[in-house]
Amino acid sequence: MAEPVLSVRNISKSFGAIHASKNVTLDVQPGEIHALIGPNGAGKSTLIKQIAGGMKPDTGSVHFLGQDVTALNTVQRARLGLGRSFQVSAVIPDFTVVENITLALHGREQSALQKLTNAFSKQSLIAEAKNHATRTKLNTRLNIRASALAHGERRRLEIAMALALKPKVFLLDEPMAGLGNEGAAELTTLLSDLKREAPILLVEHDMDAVFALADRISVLVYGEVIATGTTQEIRSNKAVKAAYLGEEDFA
Amino acid sequence: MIPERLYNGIIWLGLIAFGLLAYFIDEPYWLTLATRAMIFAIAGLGLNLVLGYGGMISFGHAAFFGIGGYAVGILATHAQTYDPIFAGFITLTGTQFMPYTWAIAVIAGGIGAALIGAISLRTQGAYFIMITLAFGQMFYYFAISWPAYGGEDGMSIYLRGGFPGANTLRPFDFFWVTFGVLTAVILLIRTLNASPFGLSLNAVRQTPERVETVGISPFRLRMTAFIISGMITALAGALFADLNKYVSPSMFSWTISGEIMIFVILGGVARLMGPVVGAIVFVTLEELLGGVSDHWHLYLGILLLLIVLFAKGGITGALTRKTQVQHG
Repeated sequence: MAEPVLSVRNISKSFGAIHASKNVTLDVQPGEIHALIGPNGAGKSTLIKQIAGGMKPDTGSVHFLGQDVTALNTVQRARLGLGRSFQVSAVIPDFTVVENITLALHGREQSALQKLTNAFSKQSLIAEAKNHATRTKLNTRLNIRASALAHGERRRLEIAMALALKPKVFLLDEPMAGLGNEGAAELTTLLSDLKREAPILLVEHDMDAVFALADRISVLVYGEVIATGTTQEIRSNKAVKAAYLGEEDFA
Repeated sequence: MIPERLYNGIIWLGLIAFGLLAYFIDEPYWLTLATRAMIFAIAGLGLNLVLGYGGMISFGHAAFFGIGGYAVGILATHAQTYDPIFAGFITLTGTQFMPYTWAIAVIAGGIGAALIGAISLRTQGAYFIMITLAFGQMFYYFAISWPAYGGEDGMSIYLRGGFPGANTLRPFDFFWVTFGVLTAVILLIRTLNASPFGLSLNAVRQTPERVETVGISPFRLRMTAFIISGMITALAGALFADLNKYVSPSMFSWTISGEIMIFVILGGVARLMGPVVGAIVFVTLEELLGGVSDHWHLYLGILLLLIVLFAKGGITGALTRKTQVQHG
């Protein structure tokens, strides 16, 4: 196998008696969508935080593009090329769609603390922002404030902002959350297109989307990865079936 | 409701008109009042950068106002006594040349803000308010207990500092010098707010975790804003010292921090001309009501209450509609 873009090695994290991550190891290979699934409370959010930089693991390490990034904070990891989206939309509510995307572009260009020009004067930058809006089907909503967007549009703005960072890996935290069937299907198409730009670590609840998209799946239960494999392998895995017993229509 | 840009222009031109009117009908006291309002406006513009755009509620901006005032007071004292501030391998003498005293006040304000910011910006919300207040009070008590520079009595500046091409002792000239500084500060704030820095600062106020994820450090943004803010407020303190020809520890008192905050809230938080309007209204009320009753703060309090309850965006918010810029 090729050198993984992102690899999580033996991460453990406890809060008192609760083991949120127990010796978790997983990696993301170039060109793949690696989905992370698991029942509620399995420790998906804690794991995402440790990968993105908001939380330090007790033991273990996170490697990104061959570099140990365990000691780096969120800002430094973002600059290296980690493009994250949030489970609960964290866009800038008072900013319009273009303004939100332009903010991400200035983050990528590192111009926030360097240039005193007008933030919207560079035509190529605005053109790029519109381009990302078009890809996420927000091109008719350019000058609408994020707070006035529909839920699904705000989810897509999250993706557009991650896209604008030109990341080396996408870290998408439940991008389908709260979307209807139609919205989820639309986003599924977008994500399968996205993986050509950078591999994706997809944390997702929506099983249809996961089985349609993922090249590999890891299952997290009580902070532990109980299985990693292709869609077929996971479908037929007994431990996974046991963990999901009671949850309707698995597989 | 008028567009905000028109409103801004009217306020700016109104100050010019007021200056000329007071001159031609020979009311030097009006000029001094207007100068006082403009100096408060500069202090408020400084605070608005952190409070309005950056969302950091600093209750300690009197520290920077006082630092600016003391910089001018100390330099003037040494200039007046011909006693060098420092005599060693180099000799530093006092000065009353405004461009120099301003520069030193601004640098001192920036250093003060860097020190206060380095500690207080690690906290948020109510803790940030309390820690900035505590720093302000520290400076206040330090000034009181500093006998070399007047202690509790402060320092008198016998002659107002000079500015090339102006006789600053004439209220008319000092009005225009202050107006020039005010205009420069307004333009600076406008430029900052429209820049990528301003965009990120406005974003950090709303959703700091998003700003982090796009690779911009919220702490560095806040720190930069805090330092620039401290510099601007120190510049206002420097002008205030020359206006009154007197500096005292009261410049550091928490009531000054509160008043600067009132200029911002009254005029409009995060609105370019908000602090300018707030300071003008404040000084006008102080003058009109202060003559009628010693308890004029009561009326100010009622006005402030009404504004906070009914006019989001202060006076500016009530009178203007925000220009919605279309990017593409």
